[in-house]
Amino acid sequence: MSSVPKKAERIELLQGTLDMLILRTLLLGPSHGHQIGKHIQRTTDDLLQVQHGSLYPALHRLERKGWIASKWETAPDRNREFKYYRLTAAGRKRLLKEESKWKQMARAVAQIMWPAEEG
Amino acid sequence: MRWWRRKHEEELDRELRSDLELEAAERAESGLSPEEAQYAAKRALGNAGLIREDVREMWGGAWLDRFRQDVSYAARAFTRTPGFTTVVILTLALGIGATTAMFSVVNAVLLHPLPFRNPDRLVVIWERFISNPNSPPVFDSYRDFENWKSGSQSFERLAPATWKAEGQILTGAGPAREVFAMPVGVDFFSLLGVAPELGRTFQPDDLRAGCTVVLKHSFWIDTFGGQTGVLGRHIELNQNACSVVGVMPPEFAFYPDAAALWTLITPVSDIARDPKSAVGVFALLKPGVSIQRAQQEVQALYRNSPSNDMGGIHVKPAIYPLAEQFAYLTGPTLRLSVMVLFGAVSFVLLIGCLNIANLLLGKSVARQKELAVRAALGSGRARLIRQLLTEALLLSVTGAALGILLALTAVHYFRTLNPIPMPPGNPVSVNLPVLAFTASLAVLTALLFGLVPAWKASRVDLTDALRATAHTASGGLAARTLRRVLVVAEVALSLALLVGAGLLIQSVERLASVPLGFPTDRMIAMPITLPKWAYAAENQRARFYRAALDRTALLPDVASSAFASSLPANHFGGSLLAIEGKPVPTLSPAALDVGQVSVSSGYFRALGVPILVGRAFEDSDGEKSPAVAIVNQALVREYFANENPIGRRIKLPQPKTDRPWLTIVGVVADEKGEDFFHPMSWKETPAVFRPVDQDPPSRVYLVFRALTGSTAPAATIQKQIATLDNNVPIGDVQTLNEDISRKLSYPHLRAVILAAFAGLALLLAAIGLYAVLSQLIAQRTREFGVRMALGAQRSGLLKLVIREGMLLTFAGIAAGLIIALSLTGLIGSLLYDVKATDPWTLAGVSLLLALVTLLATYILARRASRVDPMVALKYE
Repeated sequence: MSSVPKKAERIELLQGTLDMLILRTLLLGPSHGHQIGKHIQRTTDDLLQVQHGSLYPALHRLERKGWIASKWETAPDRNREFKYYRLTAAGRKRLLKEESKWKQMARAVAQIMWPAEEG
Repeated sequence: MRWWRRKHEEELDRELRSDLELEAAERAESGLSPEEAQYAAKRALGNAGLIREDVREMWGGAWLDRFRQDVSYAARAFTRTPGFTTVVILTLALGIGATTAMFSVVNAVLLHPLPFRNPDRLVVIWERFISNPNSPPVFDSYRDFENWKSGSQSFERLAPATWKAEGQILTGAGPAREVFAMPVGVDFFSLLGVAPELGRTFQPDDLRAGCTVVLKHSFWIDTFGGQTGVLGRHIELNQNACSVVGVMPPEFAFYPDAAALWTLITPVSDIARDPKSAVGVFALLKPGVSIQRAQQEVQALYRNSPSNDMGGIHVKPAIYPLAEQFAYLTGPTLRLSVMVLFGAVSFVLLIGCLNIANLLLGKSVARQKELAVRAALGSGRARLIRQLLTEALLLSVTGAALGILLALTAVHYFRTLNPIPMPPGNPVSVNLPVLAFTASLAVLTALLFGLVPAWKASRVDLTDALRATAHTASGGLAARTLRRVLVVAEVALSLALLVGAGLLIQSVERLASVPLGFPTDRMIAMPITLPKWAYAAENQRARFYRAALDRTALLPDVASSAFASSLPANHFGGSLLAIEGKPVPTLSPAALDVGQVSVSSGYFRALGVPILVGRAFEDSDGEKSPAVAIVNQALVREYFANENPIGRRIKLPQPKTDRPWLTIVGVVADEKGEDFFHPMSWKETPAVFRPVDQDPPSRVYLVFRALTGSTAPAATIQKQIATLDNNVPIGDVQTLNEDISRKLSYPHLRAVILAAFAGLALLLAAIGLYAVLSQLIAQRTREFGVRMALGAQRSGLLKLVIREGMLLTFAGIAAGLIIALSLTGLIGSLLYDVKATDPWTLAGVSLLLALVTLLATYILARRASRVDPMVALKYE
């Protein structure tokens, strides 16, 4: 029982950031869940491992908020359907907002962590 | 909704499956065997069930789904344990039902605003004695009303109204009868802001017209059959033609309930022409004006009023909210009674909740394994608590639904039986605010009895719980201690209720068994009102009364009969007493305590009131003979202490000072009577009795003692009186016993209800104790089986169970006595002849409680001691 991290902790840890990463990934074009996960993992040289347990709830949450939309479509290279997610207009705006928030945050953290470089 | 959900579930499955396949394909590409790839992909995906649950959470509305699951799971669990479920739901139904019923009374009497337009601004102005601020308020004078109306700035409207007025005889609408037409000012209805059902209410033009009246709905139906043609018609009140201008809607009610119609006070009315007429002044405060400010203003006006009889020395005006006064006038102890009983019923509900918490704790021990399995399968702790709380909520909502039915029945019976007078305004009903209260009660009780067991049960230690068998599970020391504490609390609370019930029951019994000074058995009374126009002269009235008595005396079923201007137990004071040769006492509530009663010569004999000194009235005490009086012991005690009253001369200076001096010819024993403002007592009003021939009132009671218990002779007497004059109205026939028990209706009902609550509490506490003890036995059965197999005596287990039972009981009694002693002070004013700390009551109810719990313990212990060692050992 105790080895499974509590749900509350998982979401707190990843929610804002994961949402932003998903939106950014979809900026490149529609993808299905597996592609999104792999993309984040590969782009960061496996540094960020996206758990399925976080990814799929996040996708469904973003869809519910109207930031992404989904459609079952046949993949170009395979002869089967996948659930493709794509960014909506609202999602684009959201991504911009998240991005600037993240930048601010990163700068603020940097100011505290490495004050000498600022001076 | 459902198909939407199913479609989503299918799509999610498909989505996760395709992810899994892609993952497996990738792993296979990197060189793993298909099986290994499949396995690795599954591991990468993680707990698919959990993902599904989390995703569903994101869809929204998931809680509803989960709730439905929890409910159906709970319902299944309950059908597996029907006995437990029935006990819990019945407990809740009784507790919530009783609380809801009581709350509907609280709501009607204390909370719900009066059904008038600006209930929060409606006030009544009384006057109260400065020397004795705790004495009941008194009426204002009509002149006060006029002064305040012209001089004050605090009020939007002011209107006088009074019930210190005589009934009037209604003729021209069926047989002549006496009705109470309440005189009110022109702004009375507009102040209340209630529109009539028919026609209009009073308007300024009416002040210049003759008599105008507005009818109460029920009077309109009874007298005019609800005909709309009644508007503009004339009815005759004391032979005055009064034109009907309107009818009030059925829900309109004002104090007193007896008022059948309202007459307008015009400048030529008796009330307006005598500035000392007693009226109540009702007023609508201007928005934003506080009662204090308005009170200061009327007090200043009162002080500066030069024509004021009392000059502001003895009394001063005081302002009260109307709703509070309605309750007070209807029953001075009503508000307190309602609060005490609501407190009591909350105790019952609390005991019920403790009891259920207790039962659930016991059950959760048995359910440990089930919960452990669910936890092992991935149910989070929050989910387990939610599940257990859902179960609690399901129980409480079912209980509340049954409780509402119970409350509806109780309220229905209360309104049908009408055991006590209730204040005008809001009828007691299970309405929306009450239902909202019940709904929140359901949630509150679920939390109360569900939270602790749910919390405890969710803290299962998996390995321990899974290893243990149901029979060895003990629930841990902490849980057992908690259950013991709950039982002690239940016993304590029910003891407190029993003490309260014991005190109230003794109070009403003692109050009812006080000898009033006159035997009431087979005594029957009926009021007779002589029309003033036909019987204007005193000798006309005296002659009529003599003739009526002569006829009554001849009837075979009548043992004795007499006339009296007020019924025994209803001789109210209100006058000063002047004694020849002594100064007239100064005005104060204590000095205004003498009552005057006109009686026929046979009154004392018929009532069985002994003459102690001097003589009774005789037929020779006629209008031409010297004016005489008989006084009672109470008057002698107060005004002739250590003096011989016989031969002394007295008079009652109010209202008319030109009356002749009365010579005291006899002293009679006291009749005890009602003290309206102190309902938990009997009062011996100092009384001056006058021969009816010398002072014949126009309204008297014919009282007679029947030979049998039946009131049948009353009908014969009514016929006899009708043959004398069929225009003389005779009021409702009642027995004196009915009159007395009506005076006891509040204390009586209060005691009955509290006793019922206490009984319920006792039952619940006994069940609680029984449950804890039976768990104790269940836990130790195996141990005792082993012990008995090794030769131990059966009495061992018996002793253990009884010791535990007695320990819990005595701890509960000790705690209960402390609670009782700290609370009974609140009901001090509801008691009669018994102290709130009465040791016999405390000892008596403690003993009762101990006996009941001992019985519960004994029954259980007997069962436990029949344990067969072999059966107990086979459990393993």
